[in-house]
Amino acid sequence: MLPIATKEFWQLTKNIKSIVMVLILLASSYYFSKNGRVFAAFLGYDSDNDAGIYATGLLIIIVFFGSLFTMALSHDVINREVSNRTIRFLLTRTSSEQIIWGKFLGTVAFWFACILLAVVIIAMTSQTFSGIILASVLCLITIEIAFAFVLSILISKPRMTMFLGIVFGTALPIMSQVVEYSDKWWGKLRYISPIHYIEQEDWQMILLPIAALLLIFSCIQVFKRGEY
Amino acid sequence: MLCVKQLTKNYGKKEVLKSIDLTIYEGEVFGFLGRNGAGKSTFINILTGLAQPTAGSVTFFNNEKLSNNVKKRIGVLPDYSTFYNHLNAIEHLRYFAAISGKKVSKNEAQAVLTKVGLKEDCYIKVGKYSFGMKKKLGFAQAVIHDPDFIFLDEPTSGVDAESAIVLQNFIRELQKKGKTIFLTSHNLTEIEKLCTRIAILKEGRIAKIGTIRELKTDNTNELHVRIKHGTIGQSAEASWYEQLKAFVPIIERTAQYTTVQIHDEQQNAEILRCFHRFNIPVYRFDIEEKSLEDVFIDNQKA
Repeated sequence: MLPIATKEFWQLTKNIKSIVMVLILLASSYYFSKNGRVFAAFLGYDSDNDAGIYATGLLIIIVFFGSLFTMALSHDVINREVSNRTIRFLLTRTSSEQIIWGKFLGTVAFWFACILLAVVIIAMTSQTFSGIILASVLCLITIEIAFAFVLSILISKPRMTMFLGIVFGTALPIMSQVVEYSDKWWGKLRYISPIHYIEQEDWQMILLPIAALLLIFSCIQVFKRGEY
Repeated sequence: MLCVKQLTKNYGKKEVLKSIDLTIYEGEVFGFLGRNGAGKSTFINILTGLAQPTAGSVTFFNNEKLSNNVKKRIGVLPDYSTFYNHLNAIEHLRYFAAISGKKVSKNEAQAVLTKVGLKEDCYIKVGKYSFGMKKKLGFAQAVIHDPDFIFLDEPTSGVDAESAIVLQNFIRELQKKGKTIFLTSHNLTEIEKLCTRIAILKEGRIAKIGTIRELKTDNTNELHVRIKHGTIGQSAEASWYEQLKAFVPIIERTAQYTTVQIHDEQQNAEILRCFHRFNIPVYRFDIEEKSLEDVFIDNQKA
């Protein structure tokens, strides 16, 4: 599992798409943290009492673009290997569980590293640290990575997952906001929106990584039934 | 070493493999033949965990199912090999070996690549490799973790003649080390040169199985010997004929040729003695044997 995770991690760090996304993430974190007070004033927020305001920019980026970023980078994490048939070299050496968990671990490690880097930049710029925002971002990115894995296992064509990933990655934050603040019947759908559990700012966010693990476990069951 | 029992594979209503039983013993090079679409690759895919059987069982070594521990002791060259284009051959081998739980140094990887004829190309990105080079790399990855059982699905197809010999020699070397090899190839000469035992798959069933000799003689071990000899004097002919016929059946007889049937090569000495006894000169002594190609084609026609 570890060699697969390590390869996935380093492959993501060398990918031009991921470099661009990480730069966007870091630059926006820096910008928001540097202009935290201006940003807080704009929202009518008392920034003196909340250190988290400096890290809110990072949370906003992940809420609105996290699913798009993770989909763009990981939509073909499994189906690319299947369509290129490199999966045969992996499957004849280790189990489906080890492959999927290894890839998941590598992808999560990459995003955690990026987010931690962003948090360090924010902390250095604003001299503040918000644990709750860091936890929220990590929980949210974990479930978004799991969604990308589900897509990559259920759909065999990387081009199709690229298209669906962009649609899903764009629609998820918008739909989440719509259902979150709606009084209509579809407002009930907020309970299946990951962003709902972040907005509670309490223990409920832990449900997201748990759901991610369950999704990955389901992915493994589907993957094991395939023929390669 | 490998025990397959009642293995069946259906794709929808199509029965690709029909209740196959097969045992492969330690240290043998086992050849698996069949036409395109006969089910060879499906069979290998099931044995190596790339596909699931509809029914039946596969066990390795000491009656173990295909677990991660068993996979560590197996090497597989699949029929169609593609690699990660951004990695070079050494990086590939080290990565694959690590997945199999073995740490391999650059030098060790390079040594295996040298054996398959990729010494000069081991630092080139695999994206720039030709089909034949990828095949060689596929071979190298199958053996990099020093497995006990190696599946080679058409290892020399698409490889130039010189490289094919290099790979064949490597197979022999692996056999000498006691490795068990399961080999499929459409090159019957190669199979004949390398394999100790062969199975022919036909319409999803094993139509024939045995050593090359057994297959060639249809399990009877009977061979035909065609002897070109000098003229036999009329006075001696009858008694010579009776003496020869007494221990080998005579199949054909002309003025200069006699064809007899033997079931043991030791009978050849006695045949020669019989000619010598009657002062009949022997000019040629040919053991007529079916080629593996004949056996294969006869089998497919039957």
